[in-house]
Amino acid sequence: MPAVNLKTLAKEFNYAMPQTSKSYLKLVGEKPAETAIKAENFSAWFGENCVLSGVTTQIAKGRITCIVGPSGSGKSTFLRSINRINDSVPRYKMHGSLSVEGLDLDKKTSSLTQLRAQVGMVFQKPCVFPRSIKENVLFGLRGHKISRTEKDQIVEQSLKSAALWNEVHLRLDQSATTLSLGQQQRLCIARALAVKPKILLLDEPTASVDPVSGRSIESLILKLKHDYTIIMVTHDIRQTKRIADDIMFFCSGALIECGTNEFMFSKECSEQSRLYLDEAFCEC
Amino acid sequence: MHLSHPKTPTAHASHLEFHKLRTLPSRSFIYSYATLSALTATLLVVLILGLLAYQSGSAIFEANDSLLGSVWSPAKNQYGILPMLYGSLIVMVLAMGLALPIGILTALYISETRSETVRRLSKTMLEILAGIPSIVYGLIGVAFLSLWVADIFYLQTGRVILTASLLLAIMILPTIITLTEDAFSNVATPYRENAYALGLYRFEVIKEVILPQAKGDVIGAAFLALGRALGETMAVMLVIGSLDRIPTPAYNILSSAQTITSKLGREIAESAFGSTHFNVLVLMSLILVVITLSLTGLAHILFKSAGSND
Repeated sequence: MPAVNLKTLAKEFNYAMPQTSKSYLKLVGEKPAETAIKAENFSAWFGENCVLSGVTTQIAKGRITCIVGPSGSGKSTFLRSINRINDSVPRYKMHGSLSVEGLDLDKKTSSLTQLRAQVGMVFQKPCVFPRSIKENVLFGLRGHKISRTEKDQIVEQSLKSAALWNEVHLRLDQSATTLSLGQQQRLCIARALAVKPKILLLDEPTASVDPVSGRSIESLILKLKHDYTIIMVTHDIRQTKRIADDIMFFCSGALIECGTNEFMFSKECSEQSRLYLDEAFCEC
Repeated sequence: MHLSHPKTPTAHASHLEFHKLRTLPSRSFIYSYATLSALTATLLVVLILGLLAYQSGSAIFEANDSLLGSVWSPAKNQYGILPMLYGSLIVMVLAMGLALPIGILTALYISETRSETVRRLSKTMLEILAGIPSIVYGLIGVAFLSLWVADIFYLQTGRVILTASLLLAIMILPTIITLTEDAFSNVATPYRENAYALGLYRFEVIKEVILPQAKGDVIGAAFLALGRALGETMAVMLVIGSLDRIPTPAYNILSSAQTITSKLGREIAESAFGSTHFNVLVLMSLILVVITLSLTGLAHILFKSAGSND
């Protein structure tokens, strides 16, 4: 058997690029996946504080990628860089290359609206606007010329996709603030889906809700993976094991390792990753 | 382990006792002091209103029907307060009409497009502007503004309603900008981030998120500025022309007029205490206080409702 060149192999499969060479081996036999997000030597700063350094990776389309790591490791910064929501943070700057669905984020000319239409985002704390449930779902479509029938269809479709339709279809005109936290979070997901994105970014979507709501959001994420590329930041290792297809492990602003769920929870991954994923302990 | 354990509750209890002894008297003293201060403040307002009402009560009988007229002539026992009410109203409305849109747009510009440094710098400048004594504004109005207005509109005198309104607008602008800028900046970051993450443009975020969220506070700020505009005496007195009549036609803002405050400022010292003239002036001040208090009350209700919405 000829020797396997790991870099060529990774390129050939066009797949998430783990930084530890061992993990490439797990890619053999995997179905080649298209790339949704590609980062090359990507770094981010808040003022003089470097929060992400030299991240090089690719995220595959149509899969759930969970980003894990201890607090302050740069997970959320990386996630928020994908739809450039960090741009509004004072003194934020980034270096390197980051492209989303072929759209280069480094170029000043790239349209934020175009990018954010492709990349939906749901934050840790559910934040509904103090308007009706229906208006909340349609919030991202303001300025679009849509007929009333189309609007109703979008509302129904988005709420069904977010597994919320059965609970709220009789009170669409009621204020969204009357919903429970779990329902509000699913409404936020429905609101993001209404814009018809290709990628869905989830920043600890179950952290602020009770375990039952958390489970329903989890099963919703599993359903959504057939239509969307999902990238999720989470601190819940068991949740990661349950739902992730791929896992990226960040520590101290660096991407330590990434690979498939099976690989990352196997003994083949690096000592550092295993320590964190098995024992929630990090020596960074 | 057993040796140290029993000690802990005792130590804890004595600490509590000590804490109780130390804090309870001072806490009750502070509570009483605060209650007394609040009662004093309320009593003072009631006292002022009561005194004004008592003093002005006789004016209603002494001045009779002339109160609701438009002729002010103490020599003929005619005390028509309508020109002053009208003057106050038109100057206030015009000043607010000029200052409010400019103030809100400036506040939006500062809070939504400028950096934190620029924001802090402009806030400092605005607070300095808000602290300038009104007589200084009045002098600027007399020395420059009234002359410019006279030149632009070919008037004999620039001491007209428009000049007073412009000057008042300049005076209340820092208050409006500072308060509304605070209101915009206080809109919770998650609202902005969620809106931006949905792909909304900055203009849409301002229109659909920032303005509706800050609405209550902005209206409250407008009412506070309105109160200041209504109560401003010195600067207005210097540039309004002090003519006790309703302009003809009534919308002629290039005519001289009189406001309640300018009337009080000019004549209160000249009138004899207890005379009808004095009592009618007190009545006008009572009207002014009632309007100002109502506006302040309304502003508080709006601030409160905005707070509960959050």
